[in-house]
Amino acid sequence: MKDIVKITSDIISLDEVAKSVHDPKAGAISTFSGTTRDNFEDKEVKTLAYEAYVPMAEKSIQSLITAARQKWSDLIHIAIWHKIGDCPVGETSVVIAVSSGHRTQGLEAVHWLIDELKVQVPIWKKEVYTNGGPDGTDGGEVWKANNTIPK
Amino acid sequence: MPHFTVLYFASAKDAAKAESEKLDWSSGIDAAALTRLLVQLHPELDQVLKTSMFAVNMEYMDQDQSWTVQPGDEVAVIPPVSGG
Repeated sequence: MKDIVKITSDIISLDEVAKSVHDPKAGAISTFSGTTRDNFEDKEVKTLAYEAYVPMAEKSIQSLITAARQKWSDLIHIAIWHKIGDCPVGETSVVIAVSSGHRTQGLEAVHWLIDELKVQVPIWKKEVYTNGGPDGTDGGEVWKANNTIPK
Repeated sequence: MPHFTVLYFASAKDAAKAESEKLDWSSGIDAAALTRLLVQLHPELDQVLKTSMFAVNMEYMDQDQSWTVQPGDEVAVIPPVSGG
């Protein structure tokens, strides 16, 4: 059983992460892919950037994987990749892939893992807004907050 | 003189205008004292610290737990996270 945790500034390929959890005993590979939105309320997002406390983020994701294995016994391999650095609109920011014997536990685990990741893992997203003006100057930037506090 | 390290991320990094700094350690620096110390060093951190947590050596500090900074500790200011 492999646990794969990667915080990377490279472009994340859903296909590559899904392949990394392939297993002959798996009847299902469940995945979640998060992508960056182009708007917040009425503002147009020009670009986004992620920052992480990398060693703690890796440790924290590994703890989530360990906890998921205790909750669901059917999981085989688990891979979680998160992007840091610039992440243009529409690009993949996070991928979770879980192989499992049957689909039910894999799907549940993926849902739980992304929810917990968003609450607990020390990663931050900054949105840079366009002002829509002809000069293309930035319309300000904001560090976002997920609507939850860590446990 | 023993030290401890403070790391700043996201809005805390912008407010402190620093990614990290080494501070002189002394006994009895609990969470409240650390907050006061950091605001003294960087007044702009005042608002950020109201919504941030501390992580000590890569573990979130339980708000209720009695804790003081130990020599060599790595304390991180963790503003509300927004991964995913």
